[in-house]
Amino acid sequence: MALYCPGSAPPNRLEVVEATRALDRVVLDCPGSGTPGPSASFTVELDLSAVRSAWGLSDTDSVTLFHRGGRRPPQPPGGAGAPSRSAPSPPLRGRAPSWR
Amino acid sequence: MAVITSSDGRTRVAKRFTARVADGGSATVAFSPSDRLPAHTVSTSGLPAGYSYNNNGLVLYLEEGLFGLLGAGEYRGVAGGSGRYAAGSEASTSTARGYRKVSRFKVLANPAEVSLSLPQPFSTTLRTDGAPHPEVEGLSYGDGNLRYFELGYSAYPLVYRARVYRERLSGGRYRLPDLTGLFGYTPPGSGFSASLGVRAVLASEGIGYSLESSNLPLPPAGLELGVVEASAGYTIGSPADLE
Repeated sequence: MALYCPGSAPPNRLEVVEATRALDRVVLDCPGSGTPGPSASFTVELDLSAVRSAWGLSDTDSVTLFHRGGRRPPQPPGGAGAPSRSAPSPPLRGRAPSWR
Repeated sequence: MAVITSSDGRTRVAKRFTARVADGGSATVAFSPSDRLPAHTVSTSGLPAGYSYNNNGLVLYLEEGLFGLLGAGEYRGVAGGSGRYAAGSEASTSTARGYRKVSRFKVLANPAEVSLSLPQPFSTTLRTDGAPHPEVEGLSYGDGNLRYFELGYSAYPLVYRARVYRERLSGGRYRLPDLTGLFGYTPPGSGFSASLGVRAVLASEGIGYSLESSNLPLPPAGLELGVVEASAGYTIGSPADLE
């Protein structure tokens, strides 16, 4: 089952939580929501030991994991994540309309 | 997909992989020298006078359900990837009551050198008559790839989006339909604030979807898009130029 990482920036982007100074090992973490279901916690470790020197990796580089993730858990009507019925429609997603 | 970028925004390596991870588990992905694909540059020309870049040569990798930023100005292909690459640049300038913006995007099937030519700003004077449901004039843009204009109008409680195809325009004018009475709506009165934006959307081939969509399909390789935009705030009841 594919896992959905709650709270990660779209599109399911994980940030580095741990990296060795030499950048031969990088750990990216999805902390999970702490509730049962497809919202999971997991880590992905990148082993860069074979390429670190040849590629000139530096500890000022940034590492990002984009993952396909899974299906977002369904939200109950009016529950967390559901827009308020009385709220005005949010701006269309994507670019911020200049005329919002 | 893991992307490592240098501090100046260039891609060091990008690799697509599949990792099966159970809840609470972990996976390890090893990189090998062959994962690093050749570097390609993105160059942009045609910056209008007075404009500055918001994005210059950004490159995204696109797949169904997966996309990620690869770099800016220079990028590398994604090892193990079979998706598309979209390169784009955007520049804008402030105006007295709003701003103007131009952007260009190209979609590639495979990583390659990219040159982007920014479209030029509107040469016409875009003008609203200031009515609660305004008429906009100056809807003209001299480019064979012009597909349609998008109008965005906001005057509380009204937020309007309209797409007007080039073929349906007459004399470069369009009036937003009057919705008075629908769903109990009453139009805003004179003296209230409003904002109006106009976009000319240029596309090298037909695009049957809105650029505002939250669920865009994977764009076809070879597609070249341009967007020219002008936006300004004004007061209802007073005709105004979008300057």
